[in-house]
Amino acid sequence: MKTSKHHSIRWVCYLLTFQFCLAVLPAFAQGDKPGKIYADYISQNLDERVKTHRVIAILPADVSIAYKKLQNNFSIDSTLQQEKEIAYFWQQHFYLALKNNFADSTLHVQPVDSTNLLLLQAGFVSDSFHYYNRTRLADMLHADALIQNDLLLSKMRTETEATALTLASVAGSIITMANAGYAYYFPSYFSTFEVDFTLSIYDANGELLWMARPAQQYEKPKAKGKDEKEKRRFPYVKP
Amino acid sequence: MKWQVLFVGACLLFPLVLPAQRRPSFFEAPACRNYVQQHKTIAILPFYVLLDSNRYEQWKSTSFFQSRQAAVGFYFQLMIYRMLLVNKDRCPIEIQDVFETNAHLAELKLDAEHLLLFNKQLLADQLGVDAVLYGMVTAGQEDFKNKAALDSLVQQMFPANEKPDRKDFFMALFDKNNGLFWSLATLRDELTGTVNLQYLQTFLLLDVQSIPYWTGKKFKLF
Repeated sequence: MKTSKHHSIRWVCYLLTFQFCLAVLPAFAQGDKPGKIYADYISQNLDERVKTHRVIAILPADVSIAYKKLQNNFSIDSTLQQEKEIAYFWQQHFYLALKNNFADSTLHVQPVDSTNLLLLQAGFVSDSFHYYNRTRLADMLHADALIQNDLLLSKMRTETEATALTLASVAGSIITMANAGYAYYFPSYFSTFEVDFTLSIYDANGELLWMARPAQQYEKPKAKGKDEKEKRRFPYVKP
Repeated sequence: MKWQVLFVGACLLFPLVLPAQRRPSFFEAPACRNYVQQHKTIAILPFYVLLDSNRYEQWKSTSFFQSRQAAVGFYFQLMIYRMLLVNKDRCPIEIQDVFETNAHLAELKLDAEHLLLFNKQLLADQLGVDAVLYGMVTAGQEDFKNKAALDSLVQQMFPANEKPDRKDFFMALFDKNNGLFWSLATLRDELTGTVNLQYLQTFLLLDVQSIPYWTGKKFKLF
């Protein structure tokens, strides 16, 4: 009787271990490995349109900070200020990283201060960012293509720590990008902040040409073969 | 021996029972499949979002709170748009660029709150698409005031015999000629504790795969 009882307890343990493995193991497989950015979406017209591009503008990043738990010293003004700082910081560094790695010397990336001045002159309000279609923005900036960055930063700790670490993470990844050409690395500490980053390229006619979400949660389209993978690489920059 | 059998049974049944509790309520018009086959272009509208203002007592009346709700609404819109674009082979429908849609809405002077009561059929026509996807989300505690108003609105949009009892998340499709033809309402436990966009995103990805344009196999999240 005793043996039978032990036998069934052992099976229960096996069963629980099996269920635990089913639940936990896939979570470990989720981590983003460092690597190049490849598009999750490319338009059929990408190659054709990219050839016609001469002036590219980088829009100020659309940054949102989501707090998992509000701190006692939370303030609206500081959050807004922080978002604004990160937006311009990202835009500026993205400009530098891109400019140093252009494949085609005839391409001109608009300096960010010119971009921001033109937006200001045209009465662009960053709060209503979502209400501007890309054609109108391209018109405002006299650009052939627009590069848009969306950043969602969440799961922060204290405000000071969060600001310091976020800026360090952003700077780290941008510098890596600049050093390694078009390669974009997601350092492991990025995942502790649950950074959701989307990079998109819009044509002046408003068409979304290229889009990548390196840290996305959903299943990515699988590239069949090396050529297909190369096709999905960030355009404009040196191979 | 009996308790061991019961325990093993409970262990085996647990994973089956849990998802069943979270099953969403669906409404599908009889001609839904016909509409889906005829549609060529759809537009995704910004979602209407209600965060639990009781939890943020000190700044609930500020424009910041309103703008945060709107921002979450835009985030949902953009997420669905991108998700459908990336999975175009599984969901073969043309989607109007969200910034194009929003620019039209700005011309019509429609923000998320006005959209709630605006005729979606008419809106689809004005946006030049065959159908629009519209959704609502409430996030926070169970018993806040605004949620009751939203609940009653969802009840009105569902036919009498299809009324859902859980509706933290609501998503509907409207045909430009025939109005509401598909909707989903669900409760997500994840929303009751904290307001975190990553959580919202996770369950959104699950629910979006239920829209009738989705023809390919569903993908897994984790």
